[in-house]
Amino acid sequence: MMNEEMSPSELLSAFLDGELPEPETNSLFYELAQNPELQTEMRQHIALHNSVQNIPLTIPAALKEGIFLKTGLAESVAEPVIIPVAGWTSVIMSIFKSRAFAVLIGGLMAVGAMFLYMRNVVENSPVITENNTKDIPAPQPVQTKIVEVPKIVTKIINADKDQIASAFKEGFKNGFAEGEKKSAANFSKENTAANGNNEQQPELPVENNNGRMSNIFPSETIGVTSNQIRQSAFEMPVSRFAIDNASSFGGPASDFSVQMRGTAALHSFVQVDVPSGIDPAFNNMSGSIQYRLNESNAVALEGGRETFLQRYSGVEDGKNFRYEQSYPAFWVGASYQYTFSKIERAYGLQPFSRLILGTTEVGPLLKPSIGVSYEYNNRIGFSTAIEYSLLRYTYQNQVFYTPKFGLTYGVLFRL
Amino acid sequence: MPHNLKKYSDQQLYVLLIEGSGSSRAAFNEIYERHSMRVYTYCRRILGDSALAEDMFQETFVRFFENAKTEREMTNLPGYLLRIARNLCLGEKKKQHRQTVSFEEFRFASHDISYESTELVRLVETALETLKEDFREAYVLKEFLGMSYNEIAEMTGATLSVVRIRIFRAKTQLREILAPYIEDLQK
Repeated sequence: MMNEEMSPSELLSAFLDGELPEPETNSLFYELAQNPELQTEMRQHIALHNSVQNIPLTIPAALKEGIFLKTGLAESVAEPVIIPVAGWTSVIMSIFKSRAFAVLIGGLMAVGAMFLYMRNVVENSPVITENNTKDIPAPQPVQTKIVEVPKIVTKIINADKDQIASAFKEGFKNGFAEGEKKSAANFSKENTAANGNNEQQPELPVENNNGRMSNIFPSETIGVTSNQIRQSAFEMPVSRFAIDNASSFGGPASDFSVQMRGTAALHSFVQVDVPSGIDPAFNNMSGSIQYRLNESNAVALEGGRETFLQRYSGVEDGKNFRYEQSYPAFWVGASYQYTFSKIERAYGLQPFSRLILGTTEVGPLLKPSIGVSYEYNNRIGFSTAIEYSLLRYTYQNQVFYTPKFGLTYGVLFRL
Repeated sequence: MPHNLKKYSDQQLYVLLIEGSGSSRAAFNEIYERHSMRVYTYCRRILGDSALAEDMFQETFVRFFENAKTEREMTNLPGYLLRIARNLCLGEKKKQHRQTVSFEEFRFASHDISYESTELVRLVETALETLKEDFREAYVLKEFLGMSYNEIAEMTGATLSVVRIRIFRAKTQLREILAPYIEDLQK
């Protein structure tokens, strides 16, 4: 097929391309054995060929998405990550990324907000005044008292409506503490005497304690059909409900709190200059629901999205490739936080250390941090910390890491 | 819907694609997976400019999908795709009258980094850009896409001898351009 007028160099080129027929090949080999320059030329051809073959090309993933969008075949074609999903982390992530989980979290937050609102409404009730806080004794636990009754008593109310109304007025007029001085039993006796009923009735032993409204009603208004009366008085110190604008907001805070944090990258030990192909909302932000075990210890469920610069390598078609990408990872995890005592000299700042163990779509995540927090009041606090993040991921059974330092800044709302 | 389209031939995939059933997307996806690298390589090596090459690459598959609505027969699917890409790329070349690409542009374009991503690789890429278009195309089809002289001749419409000479001259020019670095390349 080849022209016999071909030069040795042309024969060599065709031979290296696998296009030289047998007869010409034999003559080329003869020439090669005789001609050192041709041998050099062959080595150069091979070197050039190998260099060209080693020039890598990777098709950007966005191109495929674009094609499918343009052709109207975009449905569930996008492949968001190049790195294969790593084992169990994908299972966890599928749970956290599911719509049901989002609805659950949204519902919990709505219930929490409602709880907070209702609590504020109740605790800011105008019944609580500064005057009666002075008269209320020290906090006492819930009291339950068993009282023996001599015999079965069934008493029809003898007092008329006006007398009962009068007793209420007296109670409100003098305050609850004053109203309590008149026991229900005495009130009952007076009324029975006034009605000309001389029959001696056993006096109901009513506890005249600090139950604020428990005894203002005469006991006889209730038909008692048992020889035991279980009388309970729930006594809560009013002073605890008093609003102190200087140090608290909306009543006492629970042990649950919600935190929102932002993260600014300080230094990544993996440096790449490939911009992220996508720009998701709330990137480099995280949130948590924290439960305070005691003054120093707290645990939390955490989640967020954060950019990690990745560099990993693999072999494709016998060639080594290195990949670099800026990967906005969605992560979830659990954290433990230890909070140290307040430093009064430093405006009440509280140092803390926190450890987050989490997972992403590509692998586990470790985030230890140290920082300080400041409680503006018992509801709102602020914090900032230096955070070290270590993302572990695999590609073609090789393990890679992205370590980096970041600065977190956040706000905390106690429920 | 077929479970494993990888076992299907190009012709079978094309039939699935033009049927317009629920398998069309999967068939198109499989065709893309099989042949996208060749098309992309051709576009990148012929045009050089990565942004332009990516546009032509996308347009190639979009055209292919649109043509599939009317083209009922398909005997050589990869060749068909390359012909679309070639027409688009050469048309773009004529519009732009570009012959060479600067070093700076190449540095910007080559963000597919590998272990071999050194100055030498950039030199080879740039050297390719300096080749005459006919030579470069023949060389790219041979070296990067592994096509035979016959296939190249069929695609480009040139004779077998012309293809052989183009490739030989492309190699010779590349050797001359890269002569100072050949020893480094050999390492």
